[in-house]
Amino acid sequence: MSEMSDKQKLQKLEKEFEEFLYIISHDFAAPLRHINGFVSIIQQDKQDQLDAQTTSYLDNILKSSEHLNAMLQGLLKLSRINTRPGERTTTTLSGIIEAAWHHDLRHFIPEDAQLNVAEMPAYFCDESQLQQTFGALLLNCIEYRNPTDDLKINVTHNLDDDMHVICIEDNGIGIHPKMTERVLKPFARAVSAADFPGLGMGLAFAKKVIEHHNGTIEINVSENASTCVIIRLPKVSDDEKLVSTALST
Amino acid sequence: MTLLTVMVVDDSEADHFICNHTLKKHNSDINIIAAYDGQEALDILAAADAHPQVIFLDINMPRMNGHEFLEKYSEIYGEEKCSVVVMLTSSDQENDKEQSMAYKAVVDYFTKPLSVKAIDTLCDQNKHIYN
Repeated sequence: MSEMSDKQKLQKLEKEFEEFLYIISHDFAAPLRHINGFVSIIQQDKQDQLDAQTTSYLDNILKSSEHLNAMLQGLLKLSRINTRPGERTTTTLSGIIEAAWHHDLRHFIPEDAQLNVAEMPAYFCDESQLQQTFGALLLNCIEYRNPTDDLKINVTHNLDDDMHVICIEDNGIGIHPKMTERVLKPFARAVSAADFPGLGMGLAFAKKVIEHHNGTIEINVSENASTCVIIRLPKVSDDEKLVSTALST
Repeated sequence: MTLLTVMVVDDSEADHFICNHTLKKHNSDINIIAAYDGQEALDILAAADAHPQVIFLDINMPRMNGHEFLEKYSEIYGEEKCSVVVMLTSSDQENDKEQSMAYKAVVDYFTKPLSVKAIDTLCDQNKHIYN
């Protein structure tokens, strides 16, 4: 039997890592659910026997375990990007972005928000994953908005050699240039959790999905402090489509 | 409608405790039969004079899991007027849901933890659950 190539070794390691992520996120959830369950039972059944301090301790246990549960669900979602990809279809990139905004984020859109999306070509991709990705990136624009200005989001598209270049620019609170790489990692936050509650999974999820499509993602901070998330996706040839379709059937 | 007798099939003692606590909120006099895997549940049902109204069934269990239980249960009790099954699991995977809901006996699919509201809805939507 021939030895594994470096690429095969890497693929094996990636698969093992994803299985590990899945085990952590799935199997750790059960004892966590039990902690939640027992704390809730104490809160419901022993309410009249609890003093204010004990009530506060129990609230904190519940908050922490709910936060950990949300983190585990985030890891589970991340692990499923490669292990459970959807079917790839051809659909317009701008249509995916509009769907993420008008459908997925419909309950979060502030009244003063203005979203401009440039016309974009059709693209062969995992539509569901990309819609969730653009949803996560646009949600960041909403959550990290500047409270004193109307929210403006501009999504542009250019062709650069063999790449689609999509830029999501907003007039939000911005991000420190030193943090632009770090925030692409899971659970990394550029702001304090007290000021801006959140998990820090949106950009990590986006990075993994874009890389799953053989693309790249980076964050640019301009001189006027506006943030631009730049996504580069390779143009997919008809040959690749055929191979991909054959593999998925 | 109020549930009077149910069976909970789950390999976790903690899940039994939490599930029972919720069931007793629905009806403090409820009779709860406990089984810790699919095979034990089948053995209890085979020896019982009367079946519970609802079987709350987990999927991931040792010896005989929830899917295997459903296959056997349908073979044995398929055409009889017997318990309805409600899946109660931590799995939110579509294939687990589809596979379970394909059985005639399965009327709903809940992810843990069980809530009183879910039990009330179950009773409202399944008037045919026999007493």
